[in-house]
Amino acid sequence: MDYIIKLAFVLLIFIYSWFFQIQNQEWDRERTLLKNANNLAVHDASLQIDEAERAHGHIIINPDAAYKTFQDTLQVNLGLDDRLYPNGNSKLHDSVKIVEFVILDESSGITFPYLYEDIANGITKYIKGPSIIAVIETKHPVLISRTKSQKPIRVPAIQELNTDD
Amino acid sequence: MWLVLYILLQPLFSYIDYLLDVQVQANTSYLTQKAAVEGMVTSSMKTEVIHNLTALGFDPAKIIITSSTEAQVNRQSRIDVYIKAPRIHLFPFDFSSGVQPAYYYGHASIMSEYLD
Repeated sequence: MDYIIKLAFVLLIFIYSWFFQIQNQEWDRERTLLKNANNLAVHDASLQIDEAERAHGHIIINPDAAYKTFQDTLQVNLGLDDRLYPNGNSKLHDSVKIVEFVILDESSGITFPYLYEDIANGITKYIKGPSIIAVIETKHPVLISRTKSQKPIRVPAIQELNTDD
Repeated sequence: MWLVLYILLQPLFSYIDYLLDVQVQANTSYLTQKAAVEGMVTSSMKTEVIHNLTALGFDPAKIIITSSTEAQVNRQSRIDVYIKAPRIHLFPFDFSSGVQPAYYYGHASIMSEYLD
């Protein structure tokens, strides 16, 4: 009987630690997916330059086209539907939320280099040219339920256009 | 004894599987961002990624890298990049009859920057 109790205890501890490890690994997998997708999405959004303005020597990013492209690239890379919920093929378990989508260009009334500060999301960066800054998040994966809920996985990405060339 | 062995081996198998998966994802993203500049996935890019993955212990002959286009595509056209690499066994002892995933799979999509 003593042996059975010890064995059960060891098994319990093992299963709990294994699940905890899997949960942490899943967090990192999802964070990597989000970061990669966000990088690609801000890249694609930054290509949506207003050609009419460019003919006049101004680099202005078309906000509607940029946001639409940003969403499209997120959907393709993360396997999301129109509402940014995971479809059947997605590796994510919950919906993705666009926390922030900022376009900084000549129409923003700023001059470059520009010190961009976003205290809420922990971003401080000297921006050298027209840029897109985006922050997205999804819920923390849960394999072990706890009384305290974990913070969501939140990742930023910045795409700067190089105007030196 | 078998229980001790399982307790020691299972977390190691899970951890190695997770690290390799993250590396395949990272290399897919890297390759995709490089492909955007050239407008296609070039053979030198493929060689570089295969070299990276081989250094992690993958068999180079079994790494499959494909893309949605073999020709250069113009600015704002999409390029999809796929990487498949053989997966290690997830469990040291498999008690179920379920089929285990056979590959790590990476997919990424980006718009080309290439201007003719």
